[in-house]
Amino acid sequence: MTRMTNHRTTRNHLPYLSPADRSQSPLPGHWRRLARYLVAGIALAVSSVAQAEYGINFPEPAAGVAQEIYDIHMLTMQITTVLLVIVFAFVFYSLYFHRKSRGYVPDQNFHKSWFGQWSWVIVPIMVLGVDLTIAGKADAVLKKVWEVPQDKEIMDIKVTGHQWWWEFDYLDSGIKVESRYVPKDEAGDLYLREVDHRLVLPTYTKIRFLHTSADVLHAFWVPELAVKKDAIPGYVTETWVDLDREGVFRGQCAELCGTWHSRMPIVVEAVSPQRFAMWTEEQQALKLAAAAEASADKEWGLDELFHKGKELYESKCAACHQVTGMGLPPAFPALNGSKMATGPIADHLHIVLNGKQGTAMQAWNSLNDLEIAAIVTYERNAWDNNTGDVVQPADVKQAR
Amino acid sequence: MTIPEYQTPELRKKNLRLVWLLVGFALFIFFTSFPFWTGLFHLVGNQAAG
Amino acid sequence: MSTTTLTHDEAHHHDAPHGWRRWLFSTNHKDIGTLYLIFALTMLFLGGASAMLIRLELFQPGIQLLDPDLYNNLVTNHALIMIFGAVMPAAAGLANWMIPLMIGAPDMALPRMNNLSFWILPAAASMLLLSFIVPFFPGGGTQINTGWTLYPPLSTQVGMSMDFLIFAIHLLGISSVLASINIIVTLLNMRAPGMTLMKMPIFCWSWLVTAFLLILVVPVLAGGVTMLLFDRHFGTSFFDAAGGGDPVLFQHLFWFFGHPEVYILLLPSIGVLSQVIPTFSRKPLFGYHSMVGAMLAVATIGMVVWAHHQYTIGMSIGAVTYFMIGTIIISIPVGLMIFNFIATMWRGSMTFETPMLFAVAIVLMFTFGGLTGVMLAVVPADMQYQDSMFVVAHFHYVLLPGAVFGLFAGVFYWLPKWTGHMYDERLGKLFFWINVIGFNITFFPQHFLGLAGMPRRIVDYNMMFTEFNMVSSLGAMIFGLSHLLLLYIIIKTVRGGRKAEKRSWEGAKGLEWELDSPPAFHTWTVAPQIK
Repeated sequence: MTRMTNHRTTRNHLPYLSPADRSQSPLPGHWRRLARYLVAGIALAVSSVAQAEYGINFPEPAAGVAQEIYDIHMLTMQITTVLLVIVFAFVFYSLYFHRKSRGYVPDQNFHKSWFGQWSWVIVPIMVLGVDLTIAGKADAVLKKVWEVPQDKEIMDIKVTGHQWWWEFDYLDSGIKVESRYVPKDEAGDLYLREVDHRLVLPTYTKIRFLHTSADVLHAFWVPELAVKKDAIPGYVTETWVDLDREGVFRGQCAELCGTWHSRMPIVVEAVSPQRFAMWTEEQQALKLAAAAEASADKEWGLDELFHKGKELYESKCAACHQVTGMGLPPAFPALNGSKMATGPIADHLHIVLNGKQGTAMQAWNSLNDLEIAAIVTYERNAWDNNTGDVVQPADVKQAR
Repeated sequence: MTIPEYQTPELRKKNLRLVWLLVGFALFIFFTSFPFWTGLFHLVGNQAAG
Repeated sequence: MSTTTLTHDEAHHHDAPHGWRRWLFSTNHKDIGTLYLIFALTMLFLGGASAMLIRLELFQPGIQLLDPDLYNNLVTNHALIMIFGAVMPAAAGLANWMIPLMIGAPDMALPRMNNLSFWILPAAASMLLLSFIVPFFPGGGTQINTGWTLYPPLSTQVGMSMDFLIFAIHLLGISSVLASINIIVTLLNMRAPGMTLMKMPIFCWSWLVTAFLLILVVPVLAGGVTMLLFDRHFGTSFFDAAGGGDPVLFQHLFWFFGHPEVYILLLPSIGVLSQVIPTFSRKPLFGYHSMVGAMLAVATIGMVVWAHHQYTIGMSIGAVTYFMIGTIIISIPVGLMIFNFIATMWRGSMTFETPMLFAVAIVLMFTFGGLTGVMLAVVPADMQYQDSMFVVAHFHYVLLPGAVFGLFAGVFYWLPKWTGHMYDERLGKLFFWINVIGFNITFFPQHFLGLAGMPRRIVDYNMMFTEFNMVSSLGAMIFGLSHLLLLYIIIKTVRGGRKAEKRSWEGAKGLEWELDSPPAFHTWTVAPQIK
C-alpha cells in the first residue's frame, strides 16, 4: 500500500528519471528509428498529392469555389491535428509518469496550485481563440461560396432529382439531358460512376445550379465541384460553380432517396467554352429532329414502335420494372402478365402519363407522344404479353 | 494458478458450458458470414487489394 | 464528507417479493435498474447484429446479401435500436441503480411510475420488431428504408411498417419522459440532509441535466412523427409542398430533438467518467464547479444549434452562419469537460483496472471524434462532408467512446457493488483491448472513405472504395464478436467471483461505497448525515 502524504516525496519533483536510471531510457535505439520513420510517414501522408492518390482526401478541386472549400478543410484539419497531438501528449505523459506502479504519490493539492487555479480559465480562452480563428476563416469562405454572384452572364442549369436518375435542364438553350446509370456489364470498373448522358459544362463560365426534385429528397454531389445542396420537391435551392479545369468529374446522389439511392451517379464533363458551344448546337439539332419525328402525321407500325419502345423501356423503365418485365414486387410490380399491360389501353396510358400517388411510379408526361406510344406498345407486346395492340402518338395526345 | 476459494466445481462447470455456448455462437457467426469469406479470398487472390 | 449509516437487512421484516411478481410489479430501484440493464444488453446484441449484416454486405462491392430496401432498413434499425434500445435504457439503468444509493435516498421518488417507465420498453421493442417483420408477409408493404432520421417525403411512401415504428417511438418517448420526471423529483427532493446540490456527485448532476433535456425535446419528436402519421393517413400536408407544406419542416422538428439527443446520450457517460477517473487516479475530480457549469452550458447551447445537421437544405447565409458559430462554440464547454478529466489524472496515482482503461480510451478517442466535429461545423467544408462516410465515422467516434464505452466503464465499475463479486480482471482487460482495437479498425478508415467521395446509406459502391471497406468490415467482425466476451464476463460475475468489499475500489469515494456489496433490498432506510 502506498503512503498517502500531502507533502512531496522523493520521486515526484523529478518528472524524468535520474541519471542513474538512464539505462532504462524510454527511447532506446530501435524506438528512435521507429519514431523517425513515423514522422516521415506522417509527413508523406499529410502531403495532399499522396492523399488524393490513395483516396484518403478530397480529389483535386476543379472549380474556384471547390478550391476555397479544400483550403479551409485543410486548415481545420491541420489545426485539429495540432490540438489532438497536444492533448494526446499530455495524456500519454500522465499515463506513463503519474502511475501508482511507479510509486507516484497523488498530489491532493493540485487544485490549489497556480495551474490548478488558473487553467480552467486559460484553457477555455485558448479554445475560444482557436474557435474564433476557424470561424473567421470559415465565414470568409462561406460568403464566397454560398451566395450566387449577381452576374448577368451566369448560366442557369436546373437539376432535378428523380427516383433514381438525374434530369438536367439547360435553361438558356432549352436542352434537356436525362442522366441514368450504366449497367455493370457495360460500365465495368466505372459501375456506379458512369452515366449514359453526361452533364456537359463549360470552363471559365459562372454556372448556377437550381436544384429541385420530382419526388423525394435527393442531393447533387460532385466532390471536384464541392458545393452541395439538397434537392427538395416543391422548392428550389441554388449553388454556383466556376469550373477552372477540363476533365471528367464523377459524383453520386447524397441524400437517401429510397431503393436505388446507391445507383444515381452524376458525371460532369467540363469542356472549353468553344467545345461547349459546339455541343449545344448539336444537342439543339437533335432535339429539333426528335420533335419533328414525334409530330409527324404518320401511322406507326407495330415493329417500329416495338423497337423504339424497347430501347426507351430499357433506358427509363427497366431500373424498377426490370428488363425481364418481372419487376421487384411489392415495390415495383411486374408488367409481364399484369392486368395493366394486358387490359384496357386507357388505364395503361393513364398510369404511365400520370403516375400513381403514394408509390414510386412517377408521372411520365414529360416524354413526348411518340415516346409514350412506343413504350406502351412495347410493354403490351413484350415477354409473354401478346395483345397485338398498337398505340399511336395521336392516341397519347388525346389521353393527356 | 491456484483455484480461487469462491470457485465451486458446479460453478466452474456452469461457466465452462457458457463459454462453449458463446464460442460456438461466435464460430457460427464467423463461418456463416460468407461475404466475409468470399471477400477474403478476393483479397488474397487478387493481391491488388491488401 | 463523512457519514453515519445504519443499514440492516429488512428482507425478513415483510414479504420481500419473489418469482415473476418480483420483476413484473417491482417498485425497487435496484431491480428496475437491473431490468433496464438486461433489456439494454439484449438490444445491444440486436443492434449489433444489424450492424454486422450491414458491414458484411459492404465487405465487397456488389450486392451479395441484402436487397437495397432491406439494407436501408437494417441501417435504420441499427440506429434506432442502439440509440433508443441500448444506450438510453442502459443509462437509465445506471441512474436507477446508483442515484438513490449516491444521494442517500431509500428509493426513487415515484416507484410505481418507475415500474411503468421500464415495462413500456419491451412493448416498444416489440413494435419495432414488428415493423421489421411485417414486410416479409404478403401485403406487408415496403421496409422502412429512410434511415433513422425518417425524412419525408420518402417516409410518407413507406408501407405500414412506418406506422408500427411511429407507435414505438411514442412509447419510447413516454418511457423517457416519465423516467426523467422521476429522476428530477428524486434529485431535487430526496438528497440526504447536508447534501447540497453542489455536494451531489457529478453522475447525479449529469442525469439532472439529461432529464431536463429529455422533457424539453422528446415531445417535439413525438409531435413530428405524429404529423408524419397524419400526412400518411389523414390527408394533411405538413410536409408536402403540393399542399402548402414543406419537407424541411420535419427536419427541423426532428433535429430540434435530435441534437439535444446526442447530449442526452453523452452526459450520463460523462457522469460515469466523473466517478471512475477520480477513483483510479486517487485524486478528487478536478473542477467540480466548472464541470457542473460545462454540463449546463453544453445542454443550453446544444438546444439552439440543431440545424448543423441541415446545412445543405438551402438556408440563408445569416441562418447558416448563426448555426456554424453556435456549433463551433460548443467545443468550449465540451473541451473543458475533457480538460477536467485530464487534470484529474494529472499528478494522480493511477492504476489501470478495466473501468479506467475504458475511461482513458474515451478521453483520447472522444477528443478525436469531437475534433472531427469541429471540422464538420465549418459550413463550406460540410458541403463536402454532409451525407458522406466522414459523418458516419465522426458520430461513431463520439457515440461509441462518448456514450457506449462510458456505459461499459460504469458497468465494470459498479458490477462489484451490484453483484457482490469482483469481475475477472484479466478477462475485463482482454475485452477492453479487443473491443477498442476492433472499434478503431472499423471506423478509422471510414473517414478516408468519406473524404474520397463515398456517400452514406448506400448498399453498393464503386470498386475504388473497396480496400477501406474491407478493412472496416474486418474490424467490425472483430469488434462485434468481442461483445460476446462482455456477455460472458457479466454472467460469470453474477454467478460468482472474489468477494467484493463495500469499498470495492481503493480510491472509491461516495455514499454508495458505504453500503454492502451487494446492497440490501432496501437501503438508506435511515438517511445518512452529510457533513
